Amino acid sequence: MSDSAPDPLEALVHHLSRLPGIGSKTATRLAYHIVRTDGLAGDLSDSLAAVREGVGRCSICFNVASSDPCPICADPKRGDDIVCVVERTPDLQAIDRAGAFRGRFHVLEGTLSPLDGIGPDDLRIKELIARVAGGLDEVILATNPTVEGDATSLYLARLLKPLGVKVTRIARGVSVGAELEYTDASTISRALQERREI
Amino acid sequence: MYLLGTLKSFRRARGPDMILKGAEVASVKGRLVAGGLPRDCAVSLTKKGLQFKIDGKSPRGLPDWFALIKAVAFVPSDLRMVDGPPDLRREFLDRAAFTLDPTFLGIAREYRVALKQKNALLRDSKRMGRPIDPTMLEIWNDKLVRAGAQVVHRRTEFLRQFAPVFREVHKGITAAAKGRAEFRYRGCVGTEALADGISSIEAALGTKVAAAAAQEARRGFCVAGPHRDDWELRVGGEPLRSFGSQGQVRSAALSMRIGQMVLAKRVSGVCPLFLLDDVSSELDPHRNAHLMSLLLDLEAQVLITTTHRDNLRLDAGAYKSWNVRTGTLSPD
Repeated sequence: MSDSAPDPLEALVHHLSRLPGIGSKTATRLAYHIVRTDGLAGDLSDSLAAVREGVGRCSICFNVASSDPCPICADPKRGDDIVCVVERTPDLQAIDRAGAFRGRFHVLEGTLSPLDGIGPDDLRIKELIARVAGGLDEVILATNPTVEGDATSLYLARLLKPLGVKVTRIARGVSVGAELEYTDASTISRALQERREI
Repeated sequence: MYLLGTLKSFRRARGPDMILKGAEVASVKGRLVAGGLPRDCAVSLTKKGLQFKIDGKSPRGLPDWFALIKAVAFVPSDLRMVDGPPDLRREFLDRAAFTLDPTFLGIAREYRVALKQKNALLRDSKRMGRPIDPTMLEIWNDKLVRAGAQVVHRRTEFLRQFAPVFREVHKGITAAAKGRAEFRYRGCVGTEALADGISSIEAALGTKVAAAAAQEARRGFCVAGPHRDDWELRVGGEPLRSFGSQGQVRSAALSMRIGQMVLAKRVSGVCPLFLLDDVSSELDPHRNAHLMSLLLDLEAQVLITTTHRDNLRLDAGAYKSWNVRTGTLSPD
């Protein structure tokens, strides 16, 4: 068998098709676009090298960032007494973009899922407990409203409540600005179950 | 048409088995009128899976599809719903409950995910020979019990609504019916809790799941929950499954399908499309005539396949007919 290096274009297609949501056809189209567009290959490779060298996990909240601690953990204007727990960095970014929360975050890096072999030791749970033990008033559980997200929140609540911290879960129901006519039956049913007096 | 109406094979075949040998894709298209408007529905099957489109666009999910396309079929294998294994009876119950209450699909899916996750936890612990993290078991039990209680509640609620409709239809089809027909839900929760409502069902299921803990740890899978529940049909106090003749079983299965149509029409005002696969050969002339008059009363659109036109017991002007020869349809 030949040990010669693979064709660079084929290697690029192969690596691109490893990205989520990218099949081999899209990967091929993207690869040709990169080759054809002046300067794009260079810009991309510089960015990838910079990401490899300079981006990692914040050692406090496990956010993906180019500094450690990350800008959110380093921000002195944010409240230290409340932590919002999310599954992944994109969830953190979505909550932060909303601008309604000025506390700190904690990224679990996933959810509990025995089917995928993910147990408590595979998530940043020990680190969360250590932060709570260091003195916090409230932990907001903002995992996704899926079976696994709910189960993870339930697990954390059982672990954290005995430590004397207030544990809350984000509300669920009809989205702001959404029209009921276009809302799915399960969401409407859940919103009705969790209705509140005004 | 069965595939369009149920997204499943008529012969319980797996998806890829429905694709013609040597072909990449199988597709079925249909046009129906809903709310006075023509709608185009299409299902295509590839080895990767099934895709469905309404007017050329993918609907948001199964509830949107089934809200538009309502079909009930009666096929000879339906007899097994009465005297066959429990999974067929659960499937009937879940499908029929979903037709009446679209939110049931989400609940059933939630239960299925919780069940798979808990099974994985039990299986891994058994395989690795290590004790289960009690908090992990507690949370998956919690998810399982909450969703499971909803499943049980919706199923029994469906049977409660369905029973009088079934009795009405069944009485007509079986001229010499002996005794009152009743459905009995049997499984993880006792009759008293079932009657008391969702909180009692949840409490009873919780107790049952907790009591099964040692057995589940030993066997490495879930033994308590609605995934193992069953229901039985009793006529005159006797379970039809054990005591029913072939004719009684056939009449009961047909009454269940017609009852499903009647109930759907009463609840939503729309009668599902009814597909009858060669039923006439299965029924005696009296039952057959009654069935035809029931279907005419329902004003349902009915599609019947038969090898003998005489079996239909319908006036010539009451139906349109086509011939099927070597897979090709032609007007009669």
